[in-house]
Amino acid sequence: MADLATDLGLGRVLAAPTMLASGILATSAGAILRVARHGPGAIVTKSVGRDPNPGYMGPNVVEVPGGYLNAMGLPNCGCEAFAKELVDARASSDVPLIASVYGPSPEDVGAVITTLGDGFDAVEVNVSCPHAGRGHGGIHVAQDRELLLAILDTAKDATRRPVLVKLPFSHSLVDQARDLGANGADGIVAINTLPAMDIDVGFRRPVLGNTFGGLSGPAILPVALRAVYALHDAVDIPVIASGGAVSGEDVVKFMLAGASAVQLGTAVAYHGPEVFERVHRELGDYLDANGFARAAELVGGAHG
Amino acid sequence: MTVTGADRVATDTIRLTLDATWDARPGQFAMVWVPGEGEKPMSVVASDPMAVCVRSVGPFSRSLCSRTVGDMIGVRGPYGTGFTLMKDANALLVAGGMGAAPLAFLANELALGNEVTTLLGARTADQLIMPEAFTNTGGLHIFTDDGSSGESGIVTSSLDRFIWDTDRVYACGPERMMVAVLDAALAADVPCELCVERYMKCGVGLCGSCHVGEICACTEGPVLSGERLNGTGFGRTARDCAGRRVPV
Repeated sequence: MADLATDLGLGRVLAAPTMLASGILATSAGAILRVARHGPGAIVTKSVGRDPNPGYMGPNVVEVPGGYLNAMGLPNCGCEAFAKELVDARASSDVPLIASVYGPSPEDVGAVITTLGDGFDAVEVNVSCPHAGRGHGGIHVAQDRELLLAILDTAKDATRRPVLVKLPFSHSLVDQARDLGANGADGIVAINTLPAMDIDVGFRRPVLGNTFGGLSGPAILPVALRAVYALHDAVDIPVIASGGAVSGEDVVKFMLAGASAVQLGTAVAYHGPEVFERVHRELGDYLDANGFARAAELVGGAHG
Repeated sequence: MTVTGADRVATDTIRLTLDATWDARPGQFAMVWVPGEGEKPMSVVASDPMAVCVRSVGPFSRSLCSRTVGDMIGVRGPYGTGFTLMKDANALLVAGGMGAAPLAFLANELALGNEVTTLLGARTADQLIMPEAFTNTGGLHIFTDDGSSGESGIVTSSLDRFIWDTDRVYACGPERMMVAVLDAALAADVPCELCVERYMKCGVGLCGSCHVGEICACTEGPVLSGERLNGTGFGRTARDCAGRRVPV
């Protein structure tokens, strides 16, 4: 079978070009280990902030055609407690761990990364939650160039490990990514969920406790694909796709568009963490059937 | 969904019946939504028509307990795993407090063709949940902390009297009670299934808030076998709404 091993320049070679997307399951050592058993190339943790955060009132999740709407509100136990989760996960698994961090200011993001210590292989800075308030550093961070670059700077200073930045879909995406690449980011993750909502016609009220949330799943795949395709032409650093992939074929599409690796989120909610094994099998079958020796040969292949 | 029945089943607990028929098994849960108050997981108490039991303990449950016939509540599900049903067997049901809710549904399903013994516990007589749901199934033994009904003491104090004659133990209640059941079942080498309670936000295996060690309680549970739970930290630590470890 073709070689799925993927080198994103993170200091560790990933066994496959896949990752668990942030926000799915990985809030604790136990959950990380459960996913790790199914062989993802890497696991991106739930986004962690400086202080414990209970998140929003429910409903937090609604299933809609083509995916899920969610408004969790970045619940997490805070970086101090999470450092211990990372240590516990590390003790039982060597799966590459990418710590997703968020914060309203460079100081907050720096403090979170410093507190997490050495318990991760890379950082993913989340500046793209479409429904996080200003206190938590959501989508508005990506829209504020000065703040975005200051956060990148602080993050780079806070760790020797690679720093990825997860950007939201917007018409500024390519410019933001170019800026980040020119200022030392080690990779771009795109995209986050898309701003969305649902309304219950019986109650005649918004369904999500937070009113607004983010749409994930197959419904947003074409949007994410377009984003990744555009990023491939614009930046020299690795692009990691996130947005609705649920199959090996979806991973192939993202890689042909220019992704070096692909994150799975909703797929794991649909099929459990076992989905990684199936996706890797399907990806391998595609590579074999089409004469590719290595998964990396697909990257950008649709650009002619 | 519309509330078609709101019956007080204990001093601080009501049973809400809804205008819906669910294909649900005992042990499975519903995510119950009150706009503006939140959404919480609740054991299904009956499937045709669908019903849940609510004890008034906080703002959300107080609001839910004030619903009357004709009111609407939001419900999604059923989610999670159910209890294993048996035929021509002896079952022991151990219910503490609100844990009686899923076990009442189970007692009903097991009633045909099984010998069912129930140990039903509550703090006081007026907090006993639906004792009548367990009377058509065989022996019902009631325990209250203050002795106001049945024997004085906790349900697990007399597990030894019953556990040896049973083919499977089913338990739901406070975690310390379930740990005592788990230990007794392991010692007696009797299969057991526990319906666990964790902070559940999504109900569909997406958010991770409900993990018991490596087990996702909302999709792999809430009904879990004793073997599966043994050694997971169950009974020692749980997690709060932010995911912080808290002692049980």
